[in-house]
Amino acid sequence: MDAGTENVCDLMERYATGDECVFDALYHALAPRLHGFCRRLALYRPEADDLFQETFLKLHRARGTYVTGANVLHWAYAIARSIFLTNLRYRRRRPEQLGAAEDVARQEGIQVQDLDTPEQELIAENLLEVAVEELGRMSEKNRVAYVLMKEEGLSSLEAAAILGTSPSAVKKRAQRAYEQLRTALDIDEVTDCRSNHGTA
Amino acid sequence: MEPHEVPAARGRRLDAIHAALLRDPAAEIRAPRRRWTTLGVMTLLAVAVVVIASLLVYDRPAVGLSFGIRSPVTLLAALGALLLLVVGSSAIALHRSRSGLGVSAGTLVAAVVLAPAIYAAVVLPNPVHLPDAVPRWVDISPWGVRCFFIAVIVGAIALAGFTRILRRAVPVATRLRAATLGAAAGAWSGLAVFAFCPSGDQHHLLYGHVLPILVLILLGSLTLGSRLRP
Repeated sequence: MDAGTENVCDLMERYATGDECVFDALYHALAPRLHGFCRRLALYRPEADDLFQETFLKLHRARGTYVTGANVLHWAYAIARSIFLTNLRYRRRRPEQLGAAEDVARQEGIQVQDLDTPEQELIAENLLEVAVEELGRMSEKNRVAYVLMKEEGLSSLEAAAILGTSPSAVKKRAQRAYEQLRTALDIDEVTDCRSNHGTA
Repeated sequence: MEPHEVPAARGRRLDAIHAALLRDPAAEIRAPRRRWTTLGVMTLLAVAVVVIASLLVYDRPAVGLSFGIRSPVTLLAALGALLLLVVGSSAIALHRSRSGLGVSAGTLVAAVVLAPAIYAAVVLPNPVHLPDAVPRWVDISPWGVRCFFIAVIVGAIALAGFTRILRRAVPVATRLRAATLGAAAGAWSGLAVFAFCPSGDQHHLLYGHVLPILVLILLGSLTLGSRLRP
């Protein structure tokens, strides 16, 4: 466990014993990565914001159950996913028509790094759009396994603990997601090449 | 594809969370002794149920441990195995692990499958009690209705205690964990009826002693999820 993680664990430990003053520090330590994870889970920003807020509320209510020394971020991820799945089941039982929401990729959150030429920037933006769209299209299980292992850099053991399954199952899911993404990006590249040849 | 957090947006969200926390009832803070206190109370209640039921039905406490036994060695072996089953299944069901996310899903599945199987293997093939050694002054139903009822009472006490210990503490594999808690509660109920009932009839043992474990597993998985989730 690195120093930053240990610091967050200490904060959570104090919060679990009733020290309210550390909440802001705990929030600022967890928020960037937790919000990113929520956005990957929920895909649409308003839903992701709600999920993020609800995760902190649940974390607050469940603070007495925190296990000393446990990785707070992983615990928060598990809580966020639990809320997301509960909401998903609820929506499946009571489907409702949601208004159009802007995709996460089009929001300020995900930005393409500055590239040398406008053409490169356009290609990168296009690829990013395809990747995010594909992430939204894949199953929740594969998507979360991919996000935890490939984006968050967790080991298969850590991801398996968060997802409540075996490490081999997590690896398979992440691999499936990765292949799905690669296929989508390959297809997109081929389509682009063809359209470029067509216009030329 | 790393999402960037905008500080101003983060500040707005913190304000919203603060407002929500103010509306929220005070959260429980850590109570280290709660687990052991609850387990102690659960044990006392389970013992009280067995003793009271035995006194009401047989006029003496824990008849199953003293009446119509094949041999003391068999009784001690079966009792030891059932005690181990109670302790082992409860430990697996309640274990939080270093990550705070509990034991692996494979272990939980194993506990759910093995708890009723081990109990049945201990009590069914070679019953500890002689089939014709039932006290003459008591009528024991071959369907084990009385035992089933007592097993469900003890199992419900155990389930309530386990739920209190793990309330809001299981964000992962919640339903599976709930089923494991049901299996552990089933082990408690199995031990209770083992101490309560002197019947050696396999039909009675199957319906009155083993079936409640399966019922408690089902009950746990269907009812506890929302209480265990944070």
